[in-house]
Amino acid sequence: MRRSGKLSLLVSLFVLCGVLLTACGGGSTTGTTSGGSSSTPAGKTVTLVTDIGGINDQSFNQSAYTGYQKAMSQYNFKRSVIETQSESDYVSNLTRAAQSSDMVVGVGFLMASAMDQVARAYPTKYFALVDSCPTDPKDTNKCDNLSNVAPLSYKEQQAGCLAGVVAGKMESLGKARVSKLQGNNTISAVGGMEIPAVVHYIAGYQYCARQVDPSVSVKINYSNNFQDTAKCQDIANNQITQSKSDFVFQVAGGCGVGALQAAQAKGVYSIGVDSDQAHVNSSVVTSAVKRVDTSVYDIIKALQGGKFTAKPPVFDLSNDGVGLGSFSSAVPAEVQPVVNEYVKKIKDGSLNIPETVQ
Amino acid sequence: MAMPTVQRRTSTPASRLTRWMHTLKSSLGRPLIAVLVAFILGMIIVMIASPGALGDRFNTAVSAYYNLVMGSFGNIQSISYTLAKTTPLIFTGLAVALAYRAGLFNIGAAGQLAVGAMVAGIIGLKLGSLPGVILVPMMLVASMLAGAFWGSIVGILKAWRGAHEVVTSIMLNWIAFYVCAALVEGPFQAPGLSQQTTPLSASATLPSLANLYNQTLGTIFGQIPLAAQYTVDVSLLLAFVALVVYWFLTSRTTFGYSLRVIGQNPKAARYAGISVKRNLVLAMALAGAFAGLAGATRLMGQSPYQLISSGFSSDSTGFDAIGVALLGRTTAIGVILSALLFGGLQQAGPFLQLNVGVPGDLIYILQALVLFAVAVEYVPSFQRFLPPFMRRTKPVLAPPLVPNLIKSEALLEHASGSSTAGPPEATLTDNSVGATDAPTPATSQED
Repeated sequence: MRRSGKLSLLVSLFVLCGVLLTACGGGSTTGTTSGGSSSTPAGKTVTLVTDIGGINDQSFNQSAYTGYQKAMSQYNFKRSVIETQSESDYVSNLTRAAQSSDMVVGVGFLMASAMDQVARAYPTKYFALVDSCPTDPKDTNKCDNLSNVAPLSYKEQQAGCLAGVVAGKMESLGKARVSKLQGNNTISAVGGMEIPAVVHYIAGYQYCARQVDPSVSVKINYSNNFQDTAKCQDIANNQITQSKSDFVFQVAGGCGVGALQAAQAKGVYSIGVDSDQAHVNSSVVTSAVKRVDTSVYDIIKALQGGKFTAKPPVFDLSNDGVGLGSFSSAVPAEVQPVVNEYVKKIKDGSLNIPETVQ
Repeated sequence: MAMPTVQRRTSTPASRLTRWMHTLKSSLGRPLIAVLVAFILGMIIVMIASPGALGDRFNTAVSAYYNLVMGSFGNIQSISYTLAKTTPLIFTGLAVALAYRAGLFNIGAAGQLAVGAMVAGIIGLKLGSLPGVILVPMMLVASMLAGAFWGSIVGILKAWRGAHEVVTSIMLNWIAFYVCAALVEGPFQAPGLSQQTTPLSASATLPSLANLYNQTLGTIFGQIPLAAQYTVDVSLLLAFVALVVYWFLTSRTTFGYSLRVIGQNPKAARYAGISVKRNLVLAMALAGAFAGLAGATRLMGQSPYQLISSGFSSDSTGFDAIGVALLGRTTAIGVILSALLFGGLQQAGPFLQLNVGVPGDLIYILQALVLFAVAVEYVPSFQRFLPPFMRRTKPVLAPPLVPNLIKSEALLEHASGSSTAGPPEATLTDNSVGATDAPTPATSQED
């Protein structure tokens, strides 16, 4: 018994030594790998840091990834994507990304403070932030204008406006052409939260729907949530049954999918947001689209061409930064010309859409 | 065969070392095998998931593990990130471990952490103008109290109503997550931003270790260049203090002893005159205090020093803590080692995504596999296939839920083979070794 005990001790000691040795061995080969990777890239390297949803979220992150992929194939840099797993990782993920590449694209407004810190720590690297601008911790109310960060912002009111045109036109066509109208001449919107990006959409929606059909009334509610489908479903149900709303425009991300479902269940129409949400169900007549992919592609293109600017153009209809998704079969042919007319008006500047709800 | 009993009692330095090694081996054995099994399975999963020929797949798997090591402990910066991740895992790991000693399965560390972070955040935001000397201790103590309060609800329900702690602590988690989220999105929302508070003022934050060194010892021994990239903060030291407190509580006090007795047999504990109810509540309160500290120290020590409403429910620290505590077999040393493992894994996630293109989710698969391996307790089933000299394992450091059964079986075996005078003394020493995790006074008196 004694001898065997010693033997097993020896074995365990060997195992321990082995573990320690492999750990040391790992350290000595660092130089070769980092040297190898730096020689391969053809273009400047770009890392995409997504928010928690990840690159398959059917929304923002996915759209950003689509733009990233397009740029990747065009400029032939190595794929480098970090999907954030927890809010406490923003800073370390952005830092890692900044260390390993020339530019970092961050997705989502929750990164505003983290981006500010990391961009200040790495002044020689470039950064882009989708849907927000870096904010100084001391004053979160305004943007911190850093020369190496490009905030990518969008004129959501233009996309909202076109959605409003579709809804307003269909209302004015009446029940003869649009079968599911409830007859109260009311449309509605479900907002996630009263933050600028959401309010812009709804302001445009309301304004342009009234332009097309002055008699239409617009009901607006906020769920104060971007995740819980049940909340938006409740709100949409109320809008449909109590206010007799015919169109539910969701501006609440994942929560808003519940609003689209409510419209389907109650047999009315709905309008998607951010990406083309026609796939959700057949009640979706169109979507107010924010082309995150275009903006991400454009900023990477600018970097590769040596034209990075901390003040990129605001993405709007003229540079294909916002727009309208595909029409469903429920949309009558008369709608398209009206939409085209408004696109033209917005582009030539003759239509001034307010940024806030009237 | 009567020899071992005698030899075990001699305590020459050599035999002490031997015994210490035995202890080490038997307590490290199972966790190490669990980790090993998990890593082998993880490798197979990477090979299945990655594209290319078999050779390519193997290369991907190997480079994944290489990057796992490099990303977590490869250079000083990585180590500092890993330690920053490890700190809250140590605190919450202790929260789970302490409750586990008393036979309670504390799933509620996540909620206790959220409450602690929130209360610390509220104080930091409302009284941000106070000097740090007053503000920081105030926030830390408040977070402990808040966590303790949240934890003791579970303890009280368990002690007086018999409500199962797993159910109540899970329910309380969600209450904590959503109340905190509502507070962040309501009264404490930063102007101009959504779903987040304003970052804490500088006086409410904890300095990073590198900065602290530069301001104190660094003025004499030379500065650390680029101190800002080493993010681990002084809460790591607090975590070490917590570990010592935990070790002292559990193995040097009557309270710790009572907890263990309650954990092993509440009826026997009551019979022995231990107040089960009081101790259960106390254990949960202390566990909550540890978890609350985890929330406060991360908020105060790690940028961006702000609370994010969706972060409470998406943060996995409180749940990873269960793995940390179980893999560490609820000992102080075990908790620190497994917290390092889990912290390292999580820190390497982004690194893995960047350099290998393996999804960061591999990290979570590995964590789950480690937990699974721990839960299944591979060792007994493997032992049948091992050569005889490797079959002997006696958990000594470990305070498992059924330790006495295993031990008494071993003793019975022992007794039947040796003289009749052996057993009573052996029982005594064995118990005391199990109770204190260290050579006992009893053995040295035998010299």
